[in-house]
Amino acid sequence: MKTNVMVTLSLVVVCGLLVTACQMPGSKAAPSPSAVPAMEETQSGQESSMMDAKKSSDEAMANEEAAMKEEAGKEVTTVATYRSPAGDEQVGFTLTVDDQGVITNALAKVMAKAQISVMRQESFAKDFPAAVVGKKLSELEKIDRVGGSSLTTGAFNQALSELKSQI
Amino acid sequence: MGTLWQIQVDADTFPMVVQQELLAATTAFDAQFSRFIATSEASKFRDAKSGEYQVTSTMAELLLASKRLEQLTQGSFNAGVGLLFETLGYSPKYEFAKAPELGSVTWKVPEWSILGNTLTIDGPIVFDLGGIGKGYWIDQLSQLLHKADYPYHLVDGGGDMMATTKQDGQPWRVAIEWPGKPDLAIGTVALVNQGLAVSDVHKRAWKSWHHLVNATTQQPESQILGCATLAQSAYLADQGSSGIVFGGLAKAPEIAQKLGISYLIVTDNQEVHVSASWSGELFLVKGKRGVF
Repeated sequence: MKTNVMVTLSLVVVCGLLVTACQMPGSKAAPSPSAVPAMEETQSGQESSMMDAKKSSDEAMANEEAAMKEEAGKEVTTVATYRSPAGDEQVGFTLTVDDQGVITNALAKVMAKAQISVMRQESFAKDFPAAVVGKKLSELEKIDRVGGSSLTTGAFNQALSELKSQI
Repeated sequence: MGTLWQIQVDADTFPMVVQQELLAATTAFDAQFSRFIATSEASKFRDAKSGEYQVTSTMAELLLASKRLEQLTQGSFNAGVGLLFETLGYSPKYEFAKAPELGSVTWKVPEWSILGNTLTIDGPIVFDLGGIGKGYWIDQLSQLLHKADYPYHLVDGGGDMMATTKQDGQPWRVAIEWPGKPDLAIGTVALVNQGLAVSDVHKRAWKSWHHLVNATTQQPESQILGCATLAQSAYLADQGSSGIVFGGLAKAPEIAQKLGISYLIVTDNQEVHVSASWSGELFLVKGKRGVF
């Protein structure tokens, strides 16, 4: 399944990104579960490519769900309490862990009381967990340049191929 | 300077005479600061005795910034590693075949300090200014373009860049490579009068070494696979990415705060970390699997 290949390359950005996204200029400091909607609000220019990413992943998700149901695993549930502008709120997390201790599934459960918190948790739960999987350069639109570390010169490459021929 | 440089100008024309001036200036800079050139200031002290020596003010500035990074990374970043590189084979003659096994290198790190234009050394030393010199020069090229009346530009030095805006005020949109996967982008940034620097261990590698050698362990850095930084200038961004790669993930917030940069880091276990002020976009997809 193609998604498996992408998924094994995927990176977890939950704690780091959600916490840091809270602190972006222009957005109020807020606890992590509301950070994903906050990101979307403050970066409207980037919304469309995020939406594209979500659309393609939704299809992939449907395929994966069918496969996931067959997998066994231990479920671990935890409830986190956080302080929101609307007061103390709770959000639940259920993790499925395989016999090697690798988390194979993660779900967020909406447990909030205040209306605004419910909305934010629902939005968060929908997109949780987030992973950075990257996009093929050829799929990107309106890119002026690609930033990467230094390209090698001919001389470097030549030296390298000489080395390889000696190994 | 060992890489591919490109300049994009948003203007109706970009005459050859201007291009040639930029090329000549770049060649001169390289001649002065590259350790691969025997007559450069970087190579000048290769056989020197301990003592005090006068350097040019540009050299002094580059050395001062290097010394600051050395302190921020507790010695892991050291501009004085030129001779170490040579024992590993990364010499002006590119002698990679003689690279030793990891762990077999013992080499004394030279002591050096800079005060004003006075360099003090304790013996032979060769400076590698690659960690910050490219960013410095990118900014200089940007200044030359402003002077030549081309204010709307993007200067790209092998993937590090300084960009102003396009003529219509729009940012320059840049995709950031996923470290080690050149056909994959991890995200994008929209540059508006900003510098971007990207460090990645994959591009210059030989045997079990790569070009980001930790001066204190004398082994190639391994915790961080790649790092991108954004700053007001390419020089600051370059310092930031070099500092973070050698300082490690734990040092990144301090380095970011001291230099006024934001960062995106990929660690060797494929985790992505961004600083609070990172303004770029990441390609996020909702997935059901992940390694936490």
